[in-house]
Amino acid sequence: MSPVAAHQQLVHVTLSGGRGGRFVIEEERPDGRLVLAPDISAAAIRERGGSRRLTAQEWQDFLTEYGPQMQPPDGEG
Amino acid sequence: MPTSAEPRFPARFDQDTWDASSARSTPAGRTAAQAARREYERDGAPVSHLKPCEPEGRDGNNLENCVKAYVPQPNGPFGMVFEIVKIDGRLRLEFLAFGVRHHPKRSHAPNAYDLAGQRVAEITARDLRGEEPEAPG
Repeated sequence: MSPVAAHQQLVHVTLSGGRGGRFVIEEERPDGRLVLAPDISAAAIRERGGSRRLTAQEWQDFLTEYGPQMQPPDGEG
Repeated sequence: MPTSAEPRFPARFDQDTWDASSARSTPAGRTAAQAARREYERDGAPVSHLKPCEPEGRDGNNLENCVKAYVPQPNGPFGMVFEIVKIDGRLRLEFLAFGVRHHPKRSHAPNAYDLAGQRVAEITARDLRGEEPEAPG
């Protein structure tokens, strides 16, 4: 396996208190300690921002209205 | 060059996501990213800065509902990726990732689109060779 191809499904946890919010477990150490990192998935970002995902129709409407004023797709990503 | 009449979209930069992107960037990348963030937070992102992302990009990233801006404009080596979202019935750009658009050919470091794709897919690619600051393309 290529070193950078090591994908893993992360375990999400929610903390409450002084440092509350959504986190992911980055590392589980042999002694049971956990290393947490802020959850920066798109879903967590939307949740923190109070926004919601567009429906397929809303995305099409966005492209119809604004696509002609945007730069053309570049095929990069 | 944006005109005063062209639509601009409000942009939100989640601080945790920003910090993760900044930590990966070179000083030049951070400076360029901060300038773009300041402009987009203050005035909104002009529609003429944006390009739609490919739903299925050539690197296999699925960036549905996403747009990007080259940084700095108009053709800088860095890219900023946003998801178009709705809040209170209005469109907004949610910052997803910042990074170089292209790494040197032999590099396996993730570019801006890879980072955004990981966040949309809710999985994380861990570079087992260790964290190296990325070099601009």
